[in-house]
Amino acid sequence: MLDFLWEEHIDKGIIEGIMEFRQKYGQAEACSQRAPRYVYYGKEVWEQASQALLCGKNLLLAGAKATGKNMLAENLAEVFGRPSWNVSFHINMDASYMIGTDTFQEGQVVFRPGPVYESAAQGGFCILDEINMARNEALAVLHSVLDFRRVINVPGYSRISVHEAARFIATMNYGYAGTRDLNEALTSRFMVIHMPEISQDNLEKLLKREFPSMKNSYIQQFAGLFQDIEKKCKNGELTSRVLDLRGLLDALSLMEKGLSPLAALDMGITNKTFDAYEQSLIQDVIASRISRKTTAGSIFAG
Amino acid sequence: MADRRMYTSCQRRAMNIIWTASEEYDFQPDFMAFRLDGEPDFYMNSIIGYVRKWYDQDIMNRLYSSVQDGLFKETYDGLLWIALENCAFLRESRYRPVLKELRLEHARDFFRQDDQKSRQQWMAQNSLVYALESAKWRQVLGKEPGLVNPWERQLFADLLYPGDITAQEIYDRTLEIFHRYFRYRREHYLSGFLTGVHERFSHRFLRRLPRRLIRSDDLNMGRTGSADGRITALQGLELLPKKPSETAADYQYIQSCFGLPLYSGEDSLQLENILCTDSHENCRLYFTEGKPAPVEEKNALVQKFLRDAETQRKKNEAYYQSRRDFCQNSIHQLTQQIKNAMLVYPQPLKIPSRSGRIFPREIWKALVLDDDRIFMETTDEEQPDFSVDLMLDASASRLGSQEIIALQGYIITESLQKCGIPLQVYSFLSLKGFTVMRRFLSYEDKDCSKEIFDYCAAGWNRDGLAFRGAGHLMESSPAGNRLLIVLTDASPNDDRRIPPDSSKGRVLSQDYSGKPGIEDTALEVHRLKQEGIKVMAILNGSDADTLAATRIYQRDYVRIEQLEQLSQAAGTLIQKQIQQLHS
Repeated sequence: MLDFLWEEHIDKGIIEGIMEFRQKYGQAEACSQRAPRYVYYGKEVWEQASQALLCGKNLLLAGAKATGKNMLAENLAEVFGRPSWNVSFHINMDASYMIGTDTFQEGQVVFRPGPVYESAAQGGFCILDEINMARNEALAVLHSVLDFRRVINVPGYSRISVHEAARFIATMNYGYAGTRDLNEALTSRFMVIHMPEISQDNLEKLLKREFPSMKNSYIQQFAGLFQDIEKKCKNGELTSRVLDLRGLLDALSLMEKGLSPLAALDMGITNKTFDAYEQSLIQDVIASRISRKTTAGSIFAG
Repeated sequence: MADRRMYTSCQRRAMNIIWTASEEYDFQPDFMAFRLDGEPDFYMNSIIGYVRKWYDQDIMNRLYSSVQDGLFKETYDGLLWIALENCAFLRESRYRPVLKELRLEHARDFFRQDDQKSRQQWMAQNSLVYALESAKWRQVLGKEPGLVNPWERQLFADLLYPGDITAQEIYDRTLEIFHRYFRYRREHYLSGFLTGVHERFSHRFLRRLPRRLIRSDDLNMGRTGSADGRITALQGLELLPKKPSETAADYQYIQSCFGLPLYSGEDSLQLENILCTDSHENCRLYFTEGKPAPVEEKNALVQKFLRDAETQRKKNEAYYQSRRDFCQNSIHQLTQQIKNAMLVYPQPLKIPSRSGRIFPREIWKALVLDDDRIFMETTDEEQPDFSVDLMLDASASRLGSQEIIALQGYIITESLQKCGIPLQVYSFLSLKGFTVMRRFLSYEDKDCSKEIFDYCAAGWNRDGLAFRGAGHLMESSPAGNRLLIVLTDASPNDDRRIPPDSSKGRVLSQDYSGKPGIEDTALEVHRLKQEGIKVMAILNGSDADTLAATRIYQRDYVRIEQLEQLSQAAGTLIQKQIQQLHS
């Protein structure tokens, strides 16, 4: 993964910093988890995020759908060589879900640690996914973990100090239904990066990496297609349901296996909305990029 | 620039194709292209977008306006777009391989549509533009252009603009061609045109094209039925200060028409002192449940109004009876949707579990029975704790769809009542400076949804004041969370002006319509939201103003064009709000 940073011309000092970090804390044992599925493209964001983590800060990645928040978070854990725990937030989240809860084993009540506790204890990267889906009250328990105190108080048990290598990366989307504003107390404990939408160049790079056999002309068209949809969403002509980078990548992988491009795009993008008018708009966008006659074979070389 | 709100879904789709192609969204296209069946012409709309993308807009706009006036603008437009298609295609196809195929498909489609044309359309298409267009598409299909007349052949060749042409070159070349072939002169083009070519080519020019490519301005249709004659004529008079006797007479008139007031004189006055301030200073609020005055009314105008209202009630009922099955279906569908949304949220429940908060009473089970479920997991207490207010716009702009609105109101009311949600329903309209809030159902009323068939429309709508009135009526809600659904066309319009207020930079009084009306309404909706009331709107009909609705309700509105869409649309809105209540 470090090679990737060199390829992307990330600042030399930062890469060296990361190497030092890895040397200092060693490759954690639990880090035998699989490498992230996708890589994040975007030099500036990489530099900002890495620098913040090197300085011991926690990160809040805020951004619209399909900006690669989770991708980046996982990439960071991988680059820093730390194990990662992922906590998906929801409305009924409470402290016990994050820190841990009591359970009964061999005739006695014992503490079963939660993901925040685990990563704090083992110096892992804890990804707090969609942090603004939870109630603010439930998040208060994180305050002492995230600020200078770096401790976790587990009622009825001892208090533990957060491992030096542990970092917390939260992601949030402010557009989704059910999301709420984070309160100031929590926000102030993070360094915040507003994730930019993926640029045409970066999207092309991503497609090229994911689908090495795809012809250049089609890489441009699919990247353009995604940008067209993104613009339509931004201008309120389409809902964000159809702005789905995962959907596009999934559709492309179906095409790679031989499914007809239009059918695959329908499955991956168009059908994500259930409104007939909206579907017709997306089909128009697709028609302006991809011919009806295109076959899966013609998109990929060899 | 044409108003964005006037477009149908087809036109909107055409605009979307243009925006996609131009990669810009902050403009309203000057042209749009449609097929003979009314569907957007995909290829030509894309071309319109590419022209926007590649060529300097100022110059192109100058060109469009140069050729736009006069009887023959369609011919000029047609020729212009034959030329522009060529250069825009050549320019864009370098970056978009699919365009070649789309062009071929468009050419084939051009001739395919010939088969479907009516006799009239056949006659109409006998024009120069049609001849040149055919020539062009034939050429695209790899055939001979098929033009016999050398003059036409030369014109056709001149109109094939190359891919590397600039906007200025397009401008100069087009005007030069029009001048050379049609003696077009910018200042006096009509006279030059008529004297020179009219006789020779009139048989071709004077026929209108089977409309393929149209200027967006031509789509502008005025809203129909937005005001009824009786009150529009009075607008000037209403600006004059009223004499006290007139106000009393107006009050009497309102009372006779709409029924006895809900509040005593003193309470009303107090309410008005609180609510009828700022922009609504010279207005009054009248709450009523439609209970008729005990004395028989002698005023002929009032009698007529009452008769009309009664006729409308019968029409509403009859309309309901004629669509009873549909209505029941919609009610069923909407009820299910709302019930589902409420079910999604967990009920308060304590479940024994293997982890969580220890429950001492159960510990013995672990030790004796080896049952380690000695913890309790508690889900949050979630009760559907909300009430709904339904407010119907009853201004004259709704005259044409009173039965439909009454039925919509009925469907929503029945569905919500079936779900056991406290509900209040009222309509609003403004007349003689009074904003009349007619309540059909209060939170306590049960099984009297048919009261809604008393709905009838008249007068103006001062939406901002109506929202204040609604805010007041909602104070009696038995629930913690309050939802307000408005059936509206989102165009506030009242004959009483907004009084000047120098502290707000309003030196002169303003009409309560257009932007000031919308801004005032948006402000009132914002105030309600600040009080924790969720406000959402259902826009009726294709003439509803979506731009204004976005300003007033942000995202919390849906537009429905047909009654059939109501249950789905209302369901989605209510579901969304229920979700938000619980998040």
